[in-house]
Amino acid sequence: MDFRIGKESVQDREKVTSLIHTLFEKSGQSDEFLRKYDQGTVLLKEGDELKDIFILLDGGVELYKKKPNSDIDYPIIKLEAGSFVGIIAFTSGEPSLTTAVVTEPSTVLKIPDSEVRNLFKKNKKFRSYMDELILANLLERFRSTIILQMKLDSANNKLREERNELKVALRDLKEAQEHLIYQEKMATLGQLVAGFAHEVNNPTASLLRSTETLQTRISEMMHRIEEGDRINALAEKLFQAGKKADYPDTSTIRKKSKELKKEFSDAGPAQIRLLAQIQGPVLDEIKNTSFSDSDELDFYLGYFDLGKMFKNIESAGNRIAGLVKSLKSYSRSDTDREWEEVDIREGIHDTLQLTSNRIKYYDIDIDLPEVPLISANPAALNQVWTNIVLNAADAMGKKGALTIRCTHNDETITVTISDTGPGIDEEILERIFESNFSTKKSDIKFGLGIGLSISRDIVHKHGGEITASNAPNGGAVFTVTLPVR
Amino acid sequence: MSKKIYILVVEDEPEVLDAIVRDISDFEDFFPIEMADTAEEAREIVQDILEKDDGIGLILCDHVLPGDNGVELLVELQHKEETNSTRKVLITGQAGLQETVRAVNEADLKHYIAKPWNKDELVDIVKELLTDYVLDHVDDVLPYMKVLDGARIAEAIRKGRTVTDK
Amino acid sequence: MSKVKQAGLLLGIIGFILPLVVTFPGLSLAGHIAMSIFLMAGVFWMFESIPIYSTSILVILSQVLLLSREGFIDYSGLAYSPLPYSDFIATLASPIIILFLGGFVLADASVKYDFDKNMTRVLLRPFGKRTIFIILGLMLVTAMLSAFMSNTATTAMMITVILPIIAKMEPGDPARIGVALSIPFAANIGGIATPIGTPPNAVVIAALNQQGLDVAFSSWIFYAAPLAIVMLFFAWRVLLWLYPPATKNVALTLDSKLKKSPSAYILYATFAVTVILWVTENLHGIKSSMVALLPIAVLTLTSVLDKNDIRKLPWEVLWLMAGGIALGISMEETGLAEWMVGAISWDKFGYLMLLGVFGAVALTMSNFLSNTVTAALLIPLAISIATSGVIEGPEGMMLIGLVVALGCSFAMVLPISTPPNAIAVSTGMLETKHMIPAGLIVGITGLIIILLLSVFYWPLII
Repeated sequence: MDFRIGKESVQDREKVTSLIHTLFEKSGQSDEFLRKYDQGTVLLKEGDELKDIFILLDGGVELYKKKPNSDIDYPIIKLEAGSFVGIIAFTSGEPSLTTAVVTEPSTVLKIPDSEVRNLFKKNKKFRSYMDELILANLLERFRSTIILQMKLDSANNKLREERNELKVALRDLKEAQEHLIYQEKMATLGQLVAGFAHEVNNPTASLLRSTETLQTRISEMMHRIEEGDRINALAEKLFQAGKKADYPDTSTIRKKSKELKKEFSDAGPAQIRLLAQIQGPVLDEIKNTSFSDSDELDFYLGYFDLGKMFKNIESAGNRIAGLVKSLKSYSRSDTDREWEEVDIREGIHDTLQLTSNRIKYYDIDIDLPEVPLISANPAALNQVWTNIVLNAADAMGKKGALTIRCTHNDETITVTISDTGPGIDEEILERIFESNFSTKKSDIKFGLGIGLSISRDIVHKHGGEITASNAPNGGAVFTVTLPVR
Repeated sequence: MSKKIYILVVEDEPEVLDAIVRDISDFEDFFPIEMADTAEEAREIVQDILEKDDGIGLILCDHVLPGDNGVELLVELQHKEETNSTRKVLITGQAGLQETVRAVNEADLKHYIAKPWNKDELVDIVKELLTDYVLDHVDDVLPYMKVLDGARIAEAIRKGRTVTDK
Repeated sequence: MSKVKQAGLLLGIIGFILPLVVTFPGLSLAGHIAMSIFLMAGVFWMFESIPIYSTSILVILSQVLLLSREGFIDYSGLAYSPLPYSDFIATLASPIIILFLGGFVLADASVKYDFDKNMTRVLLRPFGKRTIFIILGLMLVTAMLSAFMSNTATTAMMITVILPIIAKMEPGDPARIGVALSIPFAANIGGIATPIGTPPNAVVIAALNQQGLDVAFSSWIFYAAPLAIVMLFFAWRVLLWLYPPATKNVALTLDSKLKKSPSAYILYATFAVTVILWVTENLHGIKSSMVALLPIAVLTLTSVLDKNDIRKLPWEVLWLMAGGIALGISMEETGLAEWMVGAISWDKFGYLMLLGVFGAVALTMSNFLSNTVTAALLIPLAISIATSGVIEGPEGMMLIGLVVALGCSFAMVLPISTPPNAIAVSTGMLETKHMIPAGLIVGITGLIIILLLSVFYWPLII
């Protein structure tokens, strides 16, 4: 390259182009090469071999490039006066990388490729001007590429930041939603299942233990019978007594045991315990019978035990059946339809059965006269009763009374559930049905605040209303009204 | 060795109480069993036993009881000097994590048996804990070898040198 | 206190007072006092109204107050020359007591460092898996250990070894009873083999020492070990015959690791050196009581045994023995023993008959009383007979001493006969009714063998 003009011209393309223009004019060749184009003229097409070079003297040209796998031309860069269109193709000899289109009426020097070489030979000045021009253009292109690149980076970063923020926000939102749903379900279900499990485990334990002992006892007895003994009347009576025996409480057993120990000085503690559970006439008969040894007394007491086992199994089995029935009825798990005609009293009873674990030590006063059937979602309504009852249990702690009443007229059924807890603060009476409302002060507990808000939703869905108030002599009262339809 | 060592069972459901006592009746020859159906009654029984200068080796306690619950009772017994070394076990169908943690931390709970229980498991635990108590409190452990953990008792005799040649 | 013990208390007091109010012709004043003490001690020991070691101290107290030079009674001019009170007190640390203390120290250290368990594990290995040989192995190991350690501690340890074996046997297998019985029997039999094997040996040796007869550790082993070995095998066969095992093989697992700390090695070394010195007493002549100080010194100065371990030594057993020894002294010195023995004309009895009577009495009494107490009560009488000339000289004394000592150890008929028996019954694996026939057979056969030895073997080597 030959730089005649010097440093300044590297920056100033216009100067160079005007010099070239002047050169051509002076040599009279300008008419040969000078062209005027209208807007829209395509100077170069992407992929074409370069046949001419174009020097933009004034006007504007835009370069386009096709995006990979598409036919659409994307604008890359706008060229102004002083630009060398096709510079890359010219210097590298490769086909044009871009499509050049005129954007406004422009004056262009169009020099065929072959001519350029001639001109170079003939005119040294031209060659040096060209060199300057090429460099200036390349520099310009480079500069704008860098600027573009930086803009691109910054735009990318911003996008990335925003994307991350959105991601986090989305995740938080999803979590919160899941949480909410889960909490609502679990709050009610959890309390129920825990209570159910405990209740069921007791009769189950009793059943299993009794059954094992039963098996052992029966085989022992079979042995005895095989040896030729006959079961006599006393044994039979003891067996029957066992089947009917009520288990007296432990302090009674202790007292009776003390008395019996005097009369049955040889009997072991287990035998005394059994004797303490035998009532009246049968016990007298035992006292009057003389047994040859402790084993014989054991044999007869074994029949009493046998009767007790049968009774235990029966009553435990019934309890389990009852609990399971209530649970099914409560959750309506064996029907497909959600809305049906129901007697709401059933639901209230089911709820009380299933929460019995929490409320068994309270005084329970229920008076539920007959009410008309209403169209309702019983499983959902049961959630409402459960929520109120469990809140009452939380409020009352260890001791208290729960009162449930229902009344009706032609249009509405009204259910009131009241407790003997500390009541609800007047100030928050309004707000307890709001979602996310929860007071966890030590003396007022509402469990999970969301329970009441969902309860209200359910009641509203039934076309009814739920309110809370305080009773005149302390304690909270929840009133649910449901339209008859 | 006139000091009696009691086993106390606290459970409010009569059939379950019956079943527990029946399962551990083999220990009754050496360890008299007392029953209570509330924490309050249990306290009275404990008082009676301590007044006679006897000891309580083991308490098997349900958690859900009328009035005070099982864990509260166990914590109370832990803080009382005479029952501090009593081995404490929960047999329960329901005690939440919080209450169980409290029992472990504040009442030195030795074992937690979930209902329904397995008889062999119950008997093994009772045997182990009573052996612990007897080795701590009784000088002449020889008579207990049959009903408690024979190997540990024999080892205690060997190392403790409480039985000697005559 | 139970009614029996209350009765014993009363009887003992009566026994004490009796010689003070009744005069027995031919018995000196000192002799009467000695009889008071003898009757009181005998009754208290028998009924255990007070702890047996406590009775021993009571004996020494009474002697110090009533039979010593510094006591309340003035014997000037009388036949009995009162011993200084320090003589009576000195029984608490007499050479034989020190010998036993040395044995206790070794035994306790062995227990502390599980040396006993480790020795058992190693020694049992060659006995394989067959039940009958395992029983033999158990018996041999038990006997070897109890020759040096207390029979009771050995039994307690072996019980832990056999419990898993028995657990794996079928419930009805007679071998359960056989295995459970083999341990106390082997412990009792093994205990006779060395002077420190069991306290009755101490009382007898001390009484012999009092008469000027020294018994070397190794000498005793020569006398007694053959009996122990023979009776061990005999007992083994008897148990197999009475309670044949139903399972052919049995798996023996002993989990114990040999302790390798410096303290453990000191123990192993001390144990070995002490036993070797004891067993070779005849070669080097150093008295076994002197050797006994070696483990006491070494193990305490190296802190193998610390202050707490020392406190846990069975000091009450030493007191029990001391009381027995002291009783013997007062019975000899005051002439009580001679007087009691003189009541019967022993020269009518044959020499063997005499030994037999004493042996039988020792065997029978110790089945119901503590072995040590039986020895303590009988040996003064036995020695008196020897000194009265019915039995010839020091050899005769040795013979009758052996008969009494060994006879006491063969009492294994009842749980109360000896603590190892009690431990075995406490396991619940066998009942008293299983113990009685076996105990009787072994005991009576033991007595017979003792008598045979006194005719054919002992006279040759004493």
